Amino acid sequence: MSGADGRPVFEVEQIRLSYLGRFPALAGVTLTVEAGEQIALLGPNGCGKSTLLKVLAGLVFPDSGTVRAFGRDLTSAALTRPDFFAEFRRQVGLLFQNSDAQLFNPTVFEEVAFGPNQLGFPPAEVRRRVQEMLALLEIDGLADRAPFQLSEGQKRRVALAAVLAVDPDVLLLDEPTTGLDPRTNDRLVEILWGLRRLGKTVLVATHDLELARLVADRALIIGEDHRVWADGPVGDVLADRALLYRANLVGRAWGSRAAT
Amino acid sequence: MHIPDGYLSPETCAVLAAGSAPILYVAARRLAREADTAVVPRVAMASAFGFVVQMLNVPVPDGTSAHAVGAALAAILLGPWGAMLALTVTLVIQALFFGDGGILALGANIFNMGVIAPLTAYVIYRSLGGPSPGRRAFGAVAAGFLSINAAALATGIELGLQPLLFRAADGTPLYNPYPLELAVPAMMFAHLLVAGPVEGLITGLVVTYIQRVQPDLLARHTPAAGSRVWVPLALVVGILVILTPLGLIAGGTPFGEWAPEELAQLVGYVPPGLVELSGRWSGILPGYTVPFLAGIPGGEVIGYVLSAFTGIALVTLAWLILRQLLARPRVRP
Amino acid sequence: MADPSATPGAAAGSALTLPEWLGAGIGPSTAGSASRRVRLDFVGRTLLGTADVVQRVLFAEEVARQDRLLQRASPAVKVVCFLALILAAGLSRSLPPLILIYASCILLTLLGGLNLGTFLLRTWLVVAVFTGLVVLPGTTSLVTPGDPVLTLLRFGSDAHLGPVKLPAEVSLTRPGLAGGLLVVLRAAASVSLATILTLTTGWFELLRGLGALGLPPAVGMLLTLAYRYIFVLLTVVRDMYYAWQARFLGSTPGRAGRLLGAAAAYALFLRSEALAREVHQAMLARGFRGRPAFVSRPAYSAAASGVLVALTIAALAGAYVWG
Repeated sequence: MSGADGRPVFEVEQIRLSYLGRFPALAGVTLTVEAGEQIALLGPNGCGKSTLLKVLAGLVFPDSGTVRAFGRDLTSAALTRPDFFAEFRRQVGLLFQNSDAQLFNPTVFEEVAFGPNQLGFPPAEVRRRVQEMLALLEIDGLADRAPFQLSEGQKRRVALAAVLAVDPDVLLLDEPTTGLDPRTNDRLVEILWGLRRLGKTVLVATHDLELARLVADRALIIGEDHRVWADGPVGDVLADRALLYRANLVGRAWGSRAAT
Repeated sequence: MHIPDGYLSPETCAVLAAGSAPILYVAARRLAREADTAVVPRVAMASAFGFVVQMLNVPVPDGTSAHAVGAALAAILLGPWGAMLALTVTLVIQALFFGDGGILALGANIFNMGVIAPLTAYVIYRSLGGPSPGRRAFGAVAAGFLSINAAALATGIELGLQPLLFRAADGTPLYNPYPLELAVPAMMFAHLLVAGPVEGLITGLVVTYIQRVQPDLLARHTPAAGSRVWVPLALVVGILVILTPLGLIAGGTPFGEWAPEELAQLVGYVPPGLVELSGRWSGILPGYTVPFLAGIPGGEVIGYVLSAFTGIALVTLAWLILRQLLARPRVRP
Repeated sequence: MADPSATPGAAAGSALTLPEWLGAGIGPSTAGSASRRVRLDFVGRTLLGTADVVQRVLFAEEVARQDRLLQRASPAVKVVCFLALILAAGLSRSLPPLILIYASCILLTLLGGLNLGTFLLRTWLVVAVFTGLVVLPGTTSLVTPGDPVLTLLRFGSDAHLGPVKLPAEVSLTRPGLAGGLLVVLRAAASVSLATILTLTTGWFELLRGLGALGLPPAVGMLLTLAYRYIFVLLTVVRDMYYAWQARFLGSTPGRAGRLLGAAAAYALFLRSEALAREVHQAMLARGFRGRPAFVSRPAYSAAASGVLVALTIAALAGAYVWG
């Protein structure tokens, strides 16, 4: 069901969304994502990036406008159908900004095993996958620890391992590098490069322009008015200093040294 | 189990509030002794916890979803005093701002859910639970189940007393119309079968989870060498003692306790042995009454309470003596 | 730094090797067995519950900001008056005084700038379900014997249902109906008064009023902190339930859902403890020594307070005379 048949992964048409009927989160966003694209969603806090990711992940639904995923309408009704539900949830993984929110199993091992277990793999296979994920994220020694007591960086690694363990075709990441130590940051970037090589679709919501430059081909800017202000190759978007400043993505002093 | 306004008379609510106040005062003093300036933020956050915990829905085996009141959980995680204060504040916020439970009825709701429920839960958890994970879980489930039912029983009694005590001249019930024999079974039925098991399940689930990730949280409020657990126990027993005069309201004679005349009426004859032996022994407090109080209004009630005290004192004395006699001799160093 | 494998001819060894099953395609799935619809009611209910709390608070703050008579009155006066009315409703022994007090509720609704239609609809919906239905059996002769007003069922004087002896007839009785109406009206009055009070006053003003009436400052501070930090804890729940929903693939909602509930309770507890420590430290850092002091209060309108008091006294007097 992935973009192998040429269809876009996501087709979003003029969606609007307000929280509690009064706080606008998205004010008419249109976007098409093809398979294999690496996109950076840029914007200041509160612009609606997280909300957009939640819409793409089928967790919240817009007040108006349409969302299609893998060629099918993405609505709450559609997600009550068991086959579509299972397929969609496996194929789209979302890494939340708040790591604590995604760690609900008693141990790291069980957290990473949660997904593969649900897919019905035999225990030996589950164990193999978990161990390989832990090794990839360099957290082998933490398998029996309780997630709540880990450091922020460790928690982020566990969460990423847990999300990747079901091998999603689409990976949505919400502010993955905020408050992260450099080594974890590096590992995250390397993994994203690896996922790109595998042909996976990646959307990263961030206000970290360096991260955008490193991992994305295409960048979107969402402004404080909850609309899309720019959509193009990452190099072009990040070169427009005036736009970045207006979008509250950089301060006045930024860009006075040339960054490559 | 939040009682709305209208079912209970203001007098009842006032009495229950007055009953809760000293217990809450003791709780506040005990907490203040532990950590003076930190009491306010600690109780505040615990109250916020108590409020939000009630919003957690989980799937239950029959296919629907349910949530818990959380009194037992609070008692286990915060200790009896912290739990009582936290739950009281939660109830106040719920009543004042979210209309969950009446304003006047706050007195009753605090008594039932802010005092009785956490106290019962704590006593049960301490006595039935144990150091092993299995025992802890069992203690937690029992604490959840019994705390809710204790609160439900109290609620049923409070409601059931209304038509007895508060009627207009023409017989119109002024508040809750269902008498004890309807109110108590109705409350107990619903809570023994549904709310109780749900509370037990959820309490057990959370305790089991915490046992796996951070067991020391569950051992925090275990007093050293059982030194202070008797205080909550004494409070629960004390409340039960105060409630004993309710027996006066029950009409008829309990099964098997008939006097010879009643037996003659019921079955038509009296066995000869019964005729000979009945009346030989009347005891010091016959019929749970104190003889010289019989003429005083309310003397019967006082008699009941005194009998309760005496009975408990005698049993405790006997147990202490037995414990001394049967204890293994201490090994001299 | 750039992706080494992205440039042609770069050393492949410097790139990270991912497990071979990543990107290989889906393995066995249990989706085929489930023919029923996927229902995650417990998630929906929880999220709805948290949203509802925020919704109510926002609405209350909106109402409290309006410039109407009740909003201008002093919170302490409001608390006393409303409490007196609630108490009067609770102590009434017959219908006429209760009706008068409920009428004053309606008047107060208007004086607070609330939409009367919506208000009546919402309060009576709650009262009808929680109180009305519950007392309905109490209005019949089964519970409250007395003068029959309307006979519902007639069984005859010797009717039996198995071993149970049926009553001769089941009817709505006069004392039963009167009693039922009393309970329902009391509930309606109390709910209405409490709602109007909190909607037109706002939480912090309410606490200020209670403080002026003698509530110990520590208790007021406690209530304020608890109220304020409820919202922080609500986001913990919301985030966790969303995150779980994103990872649930539809196999066994029961066990996985209960795991979520337990984990959420634990997370809430940890967060509340951490908050308690941090808030305490923040308070200490700002010189708190255990005795909170309240800021000076904004000016209230004595005229508005006066009107409210007059109204209350009139209602109470009327209730006393008619009751």
